[in-house]
Amino acid sequence: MDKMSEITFQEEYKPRLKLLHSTSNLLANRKIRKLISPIGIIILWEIISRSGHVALYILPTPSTIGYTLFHLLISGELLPHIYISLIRSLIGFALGSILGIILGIGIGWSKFVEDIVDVPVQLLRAVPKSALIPLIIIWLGLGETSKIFMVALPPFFLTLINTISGVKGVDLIMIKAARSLGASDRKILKEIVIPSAGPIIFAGLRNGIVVSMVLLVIAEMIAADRGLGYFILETQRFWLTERMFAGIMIISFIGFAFDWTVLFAEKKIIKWHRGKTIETV
Amino acid sequence: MFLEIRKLRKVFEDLKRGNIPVLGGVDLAVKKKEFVSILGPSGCGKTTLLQIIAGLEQPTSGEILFEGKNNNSLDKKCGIVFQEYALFPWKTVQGNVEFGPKMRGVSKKERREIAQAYIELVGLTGFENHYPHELSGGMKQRAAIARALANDPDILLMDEPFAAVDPQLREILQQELLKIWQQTGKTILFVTHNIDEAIFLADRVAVMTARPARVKDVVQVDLPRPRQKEIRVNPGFYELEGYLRKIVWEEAESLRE
Repeated sequence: MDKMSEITFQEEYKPRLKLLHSTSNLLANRKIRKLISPIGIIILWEIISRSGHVALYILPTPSTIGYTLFHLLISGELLPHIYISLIRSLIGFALGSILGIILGIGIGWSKFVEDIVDVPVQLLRAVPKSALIPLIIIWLGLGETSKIFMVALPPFFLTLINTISGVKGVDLIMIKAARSLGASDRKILKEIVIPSAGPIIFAGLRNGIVVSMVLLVIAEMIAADRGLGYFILETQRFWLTERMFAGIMIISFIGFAFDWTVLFAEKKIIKWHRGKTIETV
Repeated sequence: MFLEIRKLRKVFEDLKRGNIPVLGGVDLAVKKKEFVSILGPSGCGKTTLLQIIAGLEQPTSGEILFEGKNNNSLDKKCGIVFQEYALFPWKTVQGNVEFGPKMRGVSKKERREIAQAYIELVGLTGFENHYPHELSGGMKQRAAIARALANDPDILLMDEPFAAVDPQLREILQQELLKIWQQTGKTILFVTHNIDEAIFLADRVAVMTARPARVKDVVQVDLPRPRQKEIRVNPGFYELEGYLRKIVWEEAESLRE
């Protein structure tokens, strides 16, 4: 190939090469790569719903769901449901996980406490929490107490188990080092045991969130006249599927927001764990 | 005498294997500002001895006197440097080094200064904000030494601190330790199974028997100070090394029987 034709070759293919380049640049961006499948799913869904092969009350289009969600939020119709669900899950989750962490530290730290409470705790842990809902209603009534109690159960047991193993897993040489440097039991708890068990406790909290949302929805479906669980069940009665999807999205978003908050707190509190990954070792 | 260990015995009770006598009557006296190496075969109970001196374990019988007083609590302030470093992974170098002063309720500003001084002493300036997992083995051990010293202990107990580093680095760390010892004037009890290391560092070397451990012999190291690595080719060094090696062999033999 002489010089002249080489130049024309490059000129001719420049636009196509550019397109290829910009596409591969786009794919090199991880944020953009992560958006591909969710956007793809939504587009596919919209196409299927609009094709007429599926009834709209079975599979409403994403655009209708989006519109309905927007409308429900703007009109304020959903707000009381969101509010009460938020309150129940916040209080329940906080109570359950704090008590789980406290008891977990007690059991993990002291053989005495472990021997006293371990058997009942292990037996209760094995009970599916949803099976207790009718009993809890008989005991605590239909008010908020029973719902908060149900929501508190899963995070209690999940953080409890993780806290116990976290506390028991503390490297004893750390305790010895701290003692030789003059640390009291209280300081050892604060400076050694809790930071050491921190990552495992946080893992328990995150599992707790997911399961407490499950209990929240079941409890609201069985015994409530407000709340997102109640709202979702109501939409089913009238075949208002797009409203049902909206409700599901909101409750998922609340769970997601909780999880994100805990993750954020973990990153703030456990700085030392950051940057320490299997990949970098 | 600064530290006196008298007829110290320790028996570990093990449900499966019965009682295991670890220390069989250890006698040892250490003078103030002295550097004493404790030399013995692996698993002879050296670590147990250090932990009893530090108050982390209770002896079965016998006593430990600090300046003539029987004091079996932790307030006599022994600084320990562990073989496994035992740095707190969730604290930076700075946070680790100022831990002791923090426990004693020293103000934030003051303990920063203390930590800074000891970080400089061990040559870790510039690494204050690093976490232990970001440090090499040698640097971790330096940080651990700084942490023990920052608590201003009366005696520094070192449990095979350089066992995990390579021979070249080990010699450098030994040299640095001698420098630190001279600068701070601490009393040091240094446990090792390395004969060369024991002689190079110490004023006296106490050789332990196999389990249950007793002090088999205490050898004076009459080599001039300050010591440099060249001292290893000094005839006096050889002679001591040969002598100690024979005793250690005897003990290793008895372990096998």
